[in-house]
Amino acid sequence: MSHHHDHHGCREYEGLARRDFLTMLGGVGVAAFVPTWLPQVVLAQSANTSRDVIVSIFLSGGCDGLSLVVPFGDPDYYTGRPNIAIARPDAAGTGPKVTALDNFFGFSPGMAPLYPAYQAGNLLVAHATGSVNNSRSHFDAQRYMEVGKPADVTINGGWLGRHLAMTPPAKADAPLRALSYTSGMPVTLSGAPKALPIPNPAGFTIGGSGTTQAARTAFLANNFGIAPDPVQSNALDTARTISLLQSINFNGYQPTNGAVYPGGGFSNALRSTAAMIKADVGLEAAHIFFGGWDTHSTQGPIPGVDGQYMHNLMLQLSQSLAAFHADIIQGNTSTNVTLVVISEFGRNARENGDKGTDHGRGNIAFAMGQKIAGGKVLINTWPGLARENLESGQDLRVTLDHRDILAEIVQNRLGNTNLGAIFPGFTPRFRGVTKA
Amino acid sequence: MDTVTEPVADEVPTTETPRADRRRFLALGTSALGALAALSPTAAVEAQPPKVGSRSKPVTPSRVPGSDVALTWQDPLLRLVRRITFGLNPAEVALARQLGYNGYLEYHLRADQIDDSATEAAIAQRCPMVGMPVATLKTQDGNEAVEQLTDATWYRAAFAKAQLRERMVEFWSDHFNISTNKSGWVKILDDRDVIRPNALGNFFTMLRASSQSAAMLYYLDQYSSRTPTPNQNYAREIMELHTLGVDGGYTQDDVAELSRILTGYSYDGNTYAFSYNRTYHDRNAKTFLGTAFPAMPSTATNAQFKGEADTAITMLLTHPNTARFIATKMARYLLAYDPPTSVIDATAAAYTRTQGDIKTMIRTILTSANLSAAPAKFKRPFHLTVSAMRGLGMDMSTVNNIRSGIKQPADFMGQPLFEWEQPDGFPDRVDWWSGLVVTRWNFMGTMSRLTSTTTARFDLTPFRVLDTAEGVVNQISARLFANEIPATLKLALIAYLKGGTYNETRVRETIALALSSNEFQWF
Repeated sequence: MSHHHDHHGCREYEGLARRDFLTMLGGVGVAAFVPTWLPQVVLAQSANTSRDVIVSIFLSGGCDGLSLVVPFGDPDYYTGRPNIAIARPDAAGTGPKVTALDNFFGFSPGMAPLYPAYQAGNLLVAHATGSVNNSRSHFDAQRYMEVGKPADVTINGGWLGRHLAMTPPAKADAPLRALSYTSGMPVTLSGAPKALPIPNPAGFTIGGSGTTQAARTAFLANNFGIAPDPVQSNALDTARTISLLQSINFNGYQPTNGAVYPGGGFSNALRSTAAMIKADVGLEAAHIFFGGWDTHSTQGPIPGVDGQYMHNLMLQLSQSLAAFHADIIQGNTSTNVTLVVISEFGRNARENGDKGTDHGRGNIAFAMGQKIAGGKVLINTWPGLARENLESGQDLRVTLDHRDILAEIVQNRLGNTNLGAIFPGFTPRFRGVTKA
Repeated sequence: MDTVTEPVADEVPTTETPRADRRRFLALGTSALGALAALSPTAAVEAQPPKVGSRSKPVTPSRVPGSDVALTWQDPLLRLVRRITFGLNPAEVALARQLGYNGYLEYHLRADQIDDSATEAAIAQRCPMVGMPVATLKTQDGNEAVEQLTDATWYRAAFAKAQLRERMVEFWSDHFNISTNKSGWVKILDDRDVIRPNALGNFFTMLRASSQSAAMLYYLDQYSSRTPTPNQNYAREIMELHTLGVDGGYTQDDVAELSRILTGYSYDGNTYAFSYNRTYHDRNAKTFLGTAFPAMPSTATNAQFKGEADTAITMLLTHPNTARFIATKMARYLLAYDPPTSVIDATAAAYTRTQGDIKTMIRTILTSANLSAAPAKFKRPFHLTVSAMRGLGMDMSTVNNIRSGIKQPADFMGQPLFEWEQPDGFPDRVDWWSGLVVTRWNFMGTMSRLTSTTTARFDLTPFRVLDTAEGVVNQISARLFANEIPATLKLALIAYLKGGTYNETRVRETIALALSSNEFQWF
């Protein structure tokens, strides 16, 4: 990696890349303008376009999947949740209701903005899924999911980190293959080469005097050249990533296809990811934590009821994903992007005395992309919410290992067939998550 | 305290949802959602650095195997200063040299005998809410109260002489984590009644106090947990995070049973004192960790109902897995990320023998032999910033408003005090923090340029007593590193200082590079 590409030495390629980019946009392919947010630099290496960029979203806190995707066809959902259940699609009256996805499951009102992506066949909804490990500890459950193998504390790195570590870069000279919108590096990406935690890509640069910026960067790159890892590698990749991200005008980014990002941290992370994907800088993975789902009390999944806390949170989620769908996935056949959403566990089938729900088991997961076999709710079997069918008498059972979903995406969309190394000790079963 | 959790992503850009706005949101409730959503990315408060017209090639030195910074630390006494304070400065080093290894450690262990009255008096003036009685405090602006708590915590960490107490306050504040985004100002009561008085005291006393702390009972939803549908949140975390540890030998049934035992633990909504709500208590028979708790008659007294919880908590405190869990965590914090088994064993034994005496555990961990063999630990953002303040010679007179001058910009490094949402506390892991290279470099640059007499000021004078490149770098070496600094770094700093016009800006840049250097990131 000693060769450094001169950012200002390849005008021809830059022009070509821009034309490609404009073509990609279809309708505006012949437009005379160049979007102001386009990067000033383009890496010279041709991209490996056979694999998708993956956007990995973790709903931390354990989201209540039974409120996101309501099993309105299961009567025990209603008996167990006298205060927080959402009315059937065919319920009488004008109050908030479920939007049916099929004859059994439906989106709560907070998730309804994502319905067009489902209708377009780009969104797959999975239910009664999750980890086979029954830990109801946030930290264990999340760590095992991020690692890719439950109940094994000896494994270092995360499933996505291992995938990237064993895969050559899509662009050989890309300094930033993956980022996480966090202050620190999450386990999911741990072990990935050229991966950094970047809370805000637009602010990723060295401050102070512009005249001495280069000299100070050089001093620090040199000084950290003797630091122990992971500090050293982080510092060296950082120095190069600064140049790259500085070249993208994030604040001026214009989404396409009428997409409107609603604002807020999660939305801004998706919007920045969209900018980097379109800028074609070699990004292969983005990881986003979206927290606030640990709803032990006054959960509020119904609009207008009990402060509608979770309804608002679901709106943040669904509106942001809907914008990303319109901007990056819908009608975009040349930008290969797959997005997945998981959470550490679901919550109790029955509400507690505080109109909330405690830590549970089975949950939802989402996958979104052009090559995702969407427009359906994927289940293995629906275990049912009758008390005798619940795990520990409390929780929706997990009948679909979430790694089945991830593994199929890793193999078919990320082009990595070495699933045994990514999900050690696990033999996945492909369930039609992706399509040709 | 109606809003239960923060409505925005907990890990996505804090730069775009500044703290003040988040708190305001919590204060206003859901009506502010629209306003929050309307915050555009261009409203980011972080100043954009000047764009440069043409950029030089970034340097990409070839990779070489790195080495532990601690290999350059020869003096065990200085290792002790690094570990039990928030950073070296000439006064602290002189004190350590005067008292010797054991004398210096004992001085800090006897924190009650250290006179910090001058600093406390100044803090009382700047952060009066932190000391207010509840009756007065509850009439104040809750957001301001939380700000004053974090201001006071910063001032104490930087300027209190009783440094080891502040280090342990940091440790226990993580161990008994409470996010003020949920608890609000009531965390002040937990800080002054649970954490601070017991930080160098007794773990049994501290855990029992924590279990009766309004902020904790609210944060982990215990206060309203009642039969027949108890809330399991606190019951789980008191075992997983506060005592036994996640592999501590309990089951989901134990969580459910302990949640039934703890029903009734609540607080008085007027005084925020612990109160026992007998109508919430589940008096049916229970079995917890193999011990039977027989059913109780409805005529039993409050003390008899609560006695079940007292028994269960004592079972947790005296459990060998708790001894091991607390010993491991303290050794990791004070000594090394991967502490030797022998140290853990000895510390756990000290816990059991002394019934949770924290001083004895610290003495067991921080022997000269143990410290001399310990690799360096990576400073978390709060630690890094405070150590810079100390090394730069700041004090209560040069830092007049820590909130806007230092605390708020430092929070962009990812460690806003008392705002870690999950109950496990800020991570004590190098891989979590070491990716923050740019934000650390930038904030160290900001620190070097502080010149405001109203907020915070870094007085360069002591660094320029000998006003030459070599003179400045000698001061950097002495003040920031107690002279345990590689010759290569000194030479590089001198070369940088001589690489441009020698003036105040260049000197400040050189100091920023020293603060940003690999060598300053470890303790």
